[in-house]
Amino acid sequence: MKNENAQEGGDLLQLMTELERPEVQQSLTSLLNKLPEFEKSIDSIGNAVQFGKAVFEDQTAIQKYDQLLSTYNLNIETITAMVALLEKLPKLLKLIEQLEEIMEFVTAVIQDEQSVDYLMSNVKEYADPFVRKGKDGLTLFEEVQNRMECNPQNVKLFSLVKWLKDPMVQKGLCYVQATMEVLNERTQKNNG
Amino acid sequence: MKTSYRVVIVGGGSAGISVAARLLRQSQALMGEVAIIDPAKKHYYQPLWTLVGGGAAKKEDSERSMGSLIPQGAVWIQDAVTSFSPEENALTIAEGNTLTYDYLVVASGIEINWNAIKGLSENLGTKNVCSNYSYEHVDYTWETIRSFKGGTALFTHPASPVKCGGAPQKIMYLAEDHFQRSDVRDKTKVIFGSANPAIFDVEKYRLALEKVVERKQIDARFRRNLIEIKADEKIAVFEHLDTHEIEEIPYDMIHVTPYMQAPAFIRTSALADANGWVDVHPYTLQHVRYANVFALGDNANLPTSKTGAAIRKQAPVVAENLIALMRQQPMPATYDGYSSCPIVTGYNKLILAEFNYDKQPVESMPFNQAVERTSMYVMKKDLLPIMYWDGMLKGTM
Repeated sequence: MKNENAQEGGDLLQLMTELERPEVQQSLTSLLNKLPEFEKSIDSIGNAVQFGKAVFEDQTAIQKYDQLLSTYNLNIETITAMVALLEKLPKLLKLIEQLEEIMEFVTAVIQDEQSVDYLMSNVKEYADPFVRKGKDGLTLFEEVQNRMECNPQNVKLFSLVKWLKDPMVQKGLCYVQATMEVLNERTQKNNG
Repeated sequence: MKTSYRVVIVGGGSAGISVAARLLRQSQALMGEVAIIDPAKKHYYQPLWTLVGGGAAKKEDSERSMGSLIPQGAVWIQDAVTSFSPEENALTIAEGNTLTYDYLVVASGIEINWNAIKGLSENLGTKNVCSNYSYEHVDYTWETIRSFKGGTALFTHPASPVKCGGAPQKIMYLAEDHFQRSDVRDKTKVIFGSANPAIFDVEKYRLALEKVVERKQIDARFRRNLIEIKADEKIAVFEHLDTHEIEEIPYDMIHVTPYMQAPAFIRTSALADANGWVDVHPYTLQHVRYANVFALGDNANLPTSKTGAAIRKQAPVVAENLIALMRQQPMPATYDGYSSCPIVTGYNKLILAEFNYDKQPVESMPFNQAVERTSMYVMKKDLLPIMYWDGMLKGTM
């Protein structure tokens, strides 16, 4: 018993010594000053808890929000999908960044008059030989048509004989002759 | 004038503008805080000059005003850097002003030394002495090739690093192709005098190019370094780099690839290594002594071929690592030494060489790029310039 009393006395002495320390006294003063503020905060927490309780007890409100939520397809499937999507976000981000760069590049090209001119002049360079060939063909056709329209004449037997001497006609006739020979040979083979 | 910037970029070439555009795309906070220092009024897409020299492109298409290319949000200081004080995070410009920075990107390119070959500078652009390496004289290359009536056509590659190691032979292949078309090939001897030990450094493309050289009956002479041009006598003087023998080759036209070196203000600075190039880590591109300094492009001491394609891969690494450093995060990006050389082997033919630090092919296309292809020629001529102006310089490619 004596020992216990001595122990209590010692603890009290230690407490008193602690309380005598100026920094402890300063802290206590500051704590006391702030007490009204703490009280207010504790009141606010209490209010929030009260509000929470009231909401949970308000079956009408719960039912309303339950109904509202049920109009969305929020179920385990959508939540799983959301998590899966989150997992894929780093990969998607890379793709989106690439897409963004491509879009910015295309926009830059379109807005860059010099680049568009450069591309167009190069495309023209590639297309020019074909266009020229087409134009040559068209000119030939037009000239033939013009001459025919301007110089309508009856073709006589003499003219035909004269044409036969023309190398172009001769070449054409050679083709006809060769074709006929080949066709005849094939027909004979098939019949035989 | 503002004298302190978050990031100062030295050089408004391919590397400088690409990095600026990427930094500004990644961080809006850097608007007005990125300065590009370059005295040049014009910016050139130099890969086109091979085609200009070969008569297949107009030189005007390779030129744009510097002002039109400075990314929005970057500040262009039209002046030249004279010295660096990396310990004080400062540099001085020709006007005498001192600029300070938090981060420095050195992208000042490579310098051509027209005087290293005796007789070159005074005769360039006359007497059938031509070179694709100057905007002013590139037209004269085509003039020389076009009016060539036969004889010896000589092409050279110097004993120094050059921008785009394949370019000295590209113009030779185009010229040879033109000689065929203009019916003078029978009367023409094409000689390639190169200081290199072989036609190309990467085995796969070397083998393919050796076949091209053989097919085109080109007399390729290696370890030959051009030291003098006697323009009046039309004689080129070469030194054999192993035996040191002097060899005189008479020519009727000569295309010279000049000596190139690190710019003087870099060579003499604290940023340089023993050879004068900016001393950076080959993978992070961060300076080996100054943590807030990065370098890329031709002026960096990276053991790979100095090309625009290499810069295309280096620029995102510098931008990402610099931003990470700003955010006090570990640097995430690394450069593997990628470089590429679209070797034009004739009009409408091209071998697209792509390789890394280990000289291993790293091809982007799903086919063998060592085969000469028209599709790749079309890509170089028609698509790469657009990708450069509107993609690379905008920080998206």
